[in-house]
Amino acid sequence: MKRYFILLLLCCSTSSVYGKNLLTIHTYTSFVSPLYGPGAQLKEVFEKQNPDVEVRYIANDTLPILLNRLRLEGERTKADLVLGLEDLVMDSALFEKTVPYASCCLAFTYDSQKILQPPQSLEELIQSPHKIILQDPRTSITGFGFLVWMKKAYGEKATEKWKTLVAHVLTFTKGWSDSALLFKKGEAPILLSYTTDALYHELTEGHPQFKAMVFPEGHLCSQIYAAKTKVTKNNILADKFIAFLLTPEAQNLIVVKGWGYPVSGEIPDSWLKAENYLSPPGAIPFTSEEVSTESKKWLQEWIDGLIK
Amino acid sequence: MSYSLYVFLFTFKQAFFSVLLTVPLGILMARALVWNQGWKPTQFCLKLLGIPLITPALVSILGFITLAGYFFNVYSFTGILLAHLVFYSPFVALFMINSWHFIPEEHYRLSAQLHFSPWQIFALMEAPQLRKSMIEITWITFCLFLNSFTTIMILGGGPHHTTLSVALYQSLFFFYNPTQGLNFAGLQVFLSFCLAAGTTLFKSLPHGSSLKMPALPSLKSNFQKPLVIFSLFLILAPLMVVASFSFFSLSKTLSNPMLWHALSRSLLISGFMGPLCLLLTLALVKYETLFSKPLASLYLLLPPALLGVFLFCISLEWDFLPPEIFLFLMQLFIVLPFSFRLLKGPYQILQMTYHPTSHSLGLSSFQRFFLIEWPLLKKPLATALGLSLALSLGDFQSLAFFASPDIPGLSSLLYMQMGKYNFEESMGTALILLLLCYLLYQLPHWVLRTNVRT
Repeated sequence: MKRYFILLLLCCSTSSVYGKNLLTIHTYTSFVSPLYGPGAQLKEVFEKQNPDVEVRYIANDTLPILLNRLRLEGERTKADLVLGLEDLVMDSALFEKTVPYASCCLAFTYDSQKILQPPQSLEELIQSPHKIILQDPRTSITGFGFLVWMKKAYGEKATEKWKTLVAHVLTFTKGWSDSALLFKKGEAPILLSYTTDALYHELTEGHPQFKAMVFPEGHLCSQIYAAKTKVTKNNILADKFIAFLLTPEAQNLIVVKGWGYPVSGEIPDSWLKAENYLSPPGAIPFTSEEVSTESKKWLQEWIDGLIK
Repeated sequence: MSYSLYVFLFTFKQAFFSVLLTVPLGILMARALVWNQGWKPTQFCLKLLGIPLITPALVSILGFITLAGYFFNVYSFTGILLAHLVFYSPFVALFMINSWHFIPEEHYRLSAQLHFSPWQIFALMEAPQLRKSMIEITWITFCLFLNSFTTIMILGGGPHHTTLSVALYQSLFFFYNPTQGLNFAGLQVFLSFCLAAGTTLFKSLPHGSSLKMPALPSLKSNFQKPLVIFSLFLILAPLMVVASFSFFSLSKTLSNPMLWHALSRSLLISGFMGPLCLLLTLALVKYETLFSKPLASLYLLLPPALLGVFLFCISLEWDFLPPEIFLFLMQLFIVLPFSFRLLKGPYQILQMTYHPTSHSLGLSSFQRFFLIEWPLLKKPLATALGLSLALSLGDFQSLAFFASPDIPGLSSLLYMQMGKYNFEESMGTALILLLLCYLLYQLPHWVLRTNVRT
């Protein structure tokens, strides 16, 4: 009886495809979401070009969860490739090579019907009276990005600036989705988000009510990477997929469905025509090594400064 | 003051004050409901008591923010406490009502003959009988508040309102710092264990072993009726808000094929997992050992995030097991604290009353189950099954390390729609999810016809 049970479990757990090369890609949920995200189409196109390959996505909720999973799995991981890595949470110890395939920038989205004269710089935003919805830097990558942004913009004075800012922060949510819901419900007129967020809203909902604030001193931007794991046995296939991501067809999907800026290839016409399209803003310089070594300290500063 | 200490103290503070508000209100609600059992609004309210427990946290919070936001600043410590009060007092009432049923009818008759005032009845007769349950529910709600995550983060995000669960999430799921994570988890386990040890110090009075259900005489108390209406309002108001958001976009929600895929996935999972959870609970109640109770309380004793990571580590060691098994285990741990307690009381009394008889009649265990246990346990079994069916609709964020399924269930779909600004549509999905929760929660009662007296 026990033997049959184990056999049954084995049948459930092993792959149903035979004779095809399996490429296992770890990524985060919104990349492969059936509602949005370029994952499904990329898989379709790649499998059409390579009929002997099956792409299998394994998705976790967020990028940090995905990385921690890889760290826990160690050598046992089945991942060949990881998609969606950002400079903010890059851990080069886990990967053999990393190739950027898109980029994104943080920005504050605001409701133009409620704020007629938006802040023109980070400083103005900090000094403004408007309520802001942020994400917690300890649970959300956008929230963490803003922590780095503040630190890079103000250095030693960051804590003082945080204290001024926090007086009109409505709340720090766990993830971006929670805060987007509060923003859409009208709880506050400003939301920490991405530069393409207002554009997304205009193109899907049809009206350009939400807009992004552009700060001339620069935004926090991150490259988005595809990374090959050190333990993969599918070297050639993994390289092939990375090369595929840089083809015009794949780049177009990543831009149109994934709302990132392409690394090569064109910005689509629909974007250029839209009122809310922002070309990539100036980026505040930082390195992922610096972030990974200093982040603990910065976070503690943030906590201590705000608790007191 | 060190950060860990700050977090520890804040966690304790919010849980303590939440309990201080929630448990007394829940007991008052339970009493008002028990004392007006025949009244129509009461019967309606009794059917709804489980709803806040099975509503996705985010949906309830949205309803709460919309309503309470008119009166005060909900993004504050007070907001957190009041949200806890609204979400958990119906659950306290649900739990306490079950204990009320064990007060022998004779006690009420006697207190009537002694011309006790309503207050005296409570202080001298009901409270001593309910003492054990009150202490137990205090502990359970305290543990639930320790684990409160979404509510605290939405209403009080930021370093000021950091609980141990948030710190634990940070060190396990965001930055990779297992040692720090274990420290925070240790502190939380310490808190819940201390309280658990405290509860064992209180001796319970022997229960009246009457099994004539319902054991309560028809009590009437008009002055408690407003409290029944208040309870109804507390449960329904946030849900009404969600319903009103979704009303105009319902056709859009329903025409989305994703919704139907998600619905069928959720139904499939809950249809499999719900009954299986109940069977295991029943086995745990029936063959009680020293480990049954700690196992049933595991979800309260250990932070869910830790439990999730623990399960993930097991899955790494035994990678031939399909991930569904771990989903099931997690769900079992979530359901057990409630279903185990729902079934244990009635089963113990049943054993005390009928064990000698069935033994002397030489009934087989099969016969004993169908002739004696089934008719008497039908009602708590139906409630427990309803709860496990409904709770399996939730998505378990503590299982974050496991891969998300290819087809999202209803709660994941809700998150996805929110994440892309489909506010109205996501509220439509929330409404469907709520209706489904309610249907699944009530279904066993309808099928087993528990309202018919046995």
